[in-house]
Amino acid sequence: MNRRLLGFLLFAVLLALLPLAFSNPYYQSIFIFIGINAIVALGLNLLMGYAGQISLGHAAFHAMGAYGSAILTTTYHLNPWLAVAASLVMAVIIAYVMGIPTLKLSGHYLAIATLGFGMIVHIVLVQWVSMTGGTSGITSIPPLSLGSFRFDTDIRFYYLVWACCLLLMVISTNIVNSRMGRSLRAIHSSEAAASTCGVNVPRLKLGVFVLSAAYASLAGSLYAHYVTFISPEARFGFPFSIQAVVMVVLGGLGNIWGSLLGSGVVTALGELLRPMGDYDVAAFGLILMLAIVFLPQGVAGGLARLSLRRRTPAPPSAPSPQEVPHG
Amino acid sequence: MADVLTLVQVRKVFGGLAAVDGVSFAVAEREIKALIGPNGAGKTTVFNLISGMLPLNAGRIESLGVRLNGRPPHLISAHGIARTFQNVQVFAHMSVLENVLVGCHRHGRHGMLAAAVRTRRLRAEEQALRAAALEALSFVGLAEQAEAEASSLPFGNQRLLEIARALATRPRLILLDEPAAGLNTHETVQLGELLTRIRASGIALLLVDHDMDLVMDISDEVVVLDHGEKIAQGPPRQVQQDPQVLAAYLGEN
Amino acid sequence: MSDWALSLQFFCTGLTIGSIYALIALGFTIIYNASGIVNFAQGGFVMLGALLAVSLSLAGVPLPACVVLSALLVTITGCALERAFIRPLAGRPVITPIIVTIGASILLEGLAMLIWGKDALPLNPLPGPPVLTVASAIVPFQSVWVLGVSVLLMVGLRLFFDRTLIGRAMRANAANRQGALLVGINPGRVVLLSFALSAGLGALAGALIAPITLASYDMGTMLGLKGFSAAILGGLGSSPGAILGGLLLGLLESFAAGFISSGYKDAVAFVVLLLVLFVRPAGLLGWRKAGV
Repeated sequence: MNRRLLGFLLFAVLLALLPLAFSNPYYQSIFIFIGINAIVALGLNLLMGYAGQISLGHAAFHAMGAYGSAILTTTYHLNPWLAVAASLVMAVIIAYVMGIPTLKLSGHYLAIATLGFGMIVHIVLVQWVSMTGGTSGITSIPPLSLGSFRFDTDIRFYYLVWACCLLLMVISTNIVNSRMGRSLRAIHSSEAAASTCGVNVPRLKLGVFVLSAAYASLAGSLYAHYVTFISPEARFGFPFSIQAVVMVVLGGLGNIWGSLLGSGVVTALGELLRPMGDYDVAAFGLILMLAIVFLPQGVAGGLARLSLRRRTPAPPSAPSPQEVPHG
Repeated sequence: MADVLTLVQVRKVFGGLAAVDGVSFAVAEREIKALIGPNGAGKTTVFNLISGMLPLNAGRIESLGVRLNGRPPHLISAHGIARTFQNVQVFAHMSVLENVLVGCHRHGRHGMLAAAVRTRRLRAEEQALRAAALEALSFVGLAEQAEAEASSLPFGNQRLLEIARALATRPRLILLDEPAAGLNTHETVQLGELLTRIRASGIALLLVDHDMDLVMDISDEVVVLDHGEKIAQGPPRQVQQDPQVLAAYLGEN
Repeated sequence: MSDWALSLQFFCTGLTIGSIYALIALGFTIIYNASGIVNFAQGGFVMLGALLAVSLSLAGVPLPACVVLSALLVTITGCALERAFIRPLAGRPVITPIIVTIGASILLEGLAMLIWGKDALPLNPLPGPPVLTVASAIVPFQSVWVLGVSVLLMVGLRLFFDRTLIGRAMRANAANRQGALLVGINPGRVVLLSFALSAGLGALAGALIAPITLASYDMGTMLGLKGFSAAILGGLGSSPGAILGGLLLGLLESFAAGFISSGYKDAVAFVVLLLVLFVRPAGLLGWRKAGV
């Protein structure tokens, strides 16, 4: 445990020093986006990597955080921190209500249900113009501030985002290594066996689903208060839901550091592909397909295989123990 | 003394066919009862009904006077009924100790929020749970393999792990679904000894198995099912000589 | 226009788009039955079919041939996808083909954007008068082609699965994989064939609907998802279910767009999807156990 704490501390120091090495605001903004995405990936990893469920609609919760923050601060002039909290609560409630029927499903059906939910939210964002501004979105979102200290520069927001991210990493690690985390992993392996051990499977699945929605919502609020402008197309539809899944899978399911790695890889990839202009979409698709075929354990898993050291038992490699019946 | 498990006229129908029909029996405290019958007799279905994985069509299942049927599996486990599975269902990618710790799930009190913060009380609870889990592992003889990954264990030991996990739930009754399947003679004898020790510690057992030596050796009473119905019940020797039972098994051939 | 006349209009529109959804849904069902995979790239096949037909038509190929040729080309693409990316994944967990086929749909969309640009392209309708008047409803004549060809395809598929050896082999494989193996049916070939069929169906759907809705690089995603919703509505794994689901969804969408709101039209498919999954995941005619 102390080794783990040391790891986090070292990482915190590295994070603190990074902006000094990369003073170019372009790089700083990339690191900020990596941090925001990492928060989404951390939550989704708890759901997919540990509990073994699937969500193809997490952009919806991300949107709830972003739009909640945006609307509450611009239309209702609420304090940004309160807006973040209120959006979180809203996302949690919706996740709870949606989760109850959705998590009764599994495999393909679960994936599709989450996808459908994500699509519905996206359509609402585009169509409910009076509330969300439709495709024009919402502008002039106020930044977060502590007293007179405003988080309105890249470097200030960098520290804010990564402080949040680090905190959530510690929290996630604690959860995973606790009784609840064990039971989650048990559910992933065998729901039947877990339930006969006394694990309330539906309640636990719902709990982790709601938690992952909370992470996504927080990230969304942070995004809104950083970029100060949001619109449905940017990050709040099916493509982002897929990106989030890719981050988790690519980083290595069931691996906390993997979520960071995955977020870094996908965000950086997005930036690298940008100068390719219109080639970026095709390239992303191709890279995704190649990665999933050749790196089944994700990048982190691939790296772990290279190092050959196995201090702890390997985490489950993918949701759902059912295999594809195939010729 | 109320029975640890009572089945009254239990009936389960699948698509028009009654897999279990009007089955009634009881398991007393500290009793080892065996449930036998030809393939397809409905034995695993009975287990699934008891542990709450399948709903009943008719009848009642009770434990110590409390109704069990209609409750979800985790509450039935809370009531003291544990089980093992025919196709061993250990949590493959978790360590042996972690597997048993899941069995201790209900003995912990802290939820996700407390886990997030890792309070001192939580850490103390964790210690207590670990101690209990190690105790269960020692009982079945797997304490040395506590840190090994569950899937790396040989098959016989995986069966033992399942039993340790069941013991960790501190049950009154364990449902054992073919625990001797796939074990050699020596391992089966050891299993018999383990089961007798479990009974001595105060836990009743309901056992489904095809190994007649084991069944006759350790059971106090045997219940025989055929085509979903109970056709015989009594001490092992008596059942062994029951003409109806012989006919059911011969009929299978 | 009276409510009755409006309803008739919506009915015709709904039936037309419903036939397209039915064809796409059949594509999902065939692959699912053969391999247990949900092919998220199905929408991509539809899109490719439409755009290829446009290019062929611009190259001077007569229209009916455009439709057939584009279907053939997309069929080959489908086979290539199966061989290159699906085959190597045998035995991997459920999420893997989901991500791979999503990746494929992204790739196809990206390629289409590069080749055909971002504009919506028109395609000439198949031969016939510009519109057809049914009582007080006016429909593009292409709708008749859509319905007619769809019916022909469905009948053809039924005959294929009922009367031909290969078709029956595919059904056997879907019903009982081990039994099929025992009698010598090669599951790998069944899967390949399923991809070929579905790709072809998807392409035909795209080429048929393009004259009405225009062809563009991003038409695949929505159509694919709606076709999938239709398949779930009818019951994933059931061919008659796919057809019923498609038609029903088309009608629901059309009436909702007409009488409630056209902006939220797209949401209809997904609301229906969620309702089905929550209430009766096996769908209207489904027989497969829900949840896998």
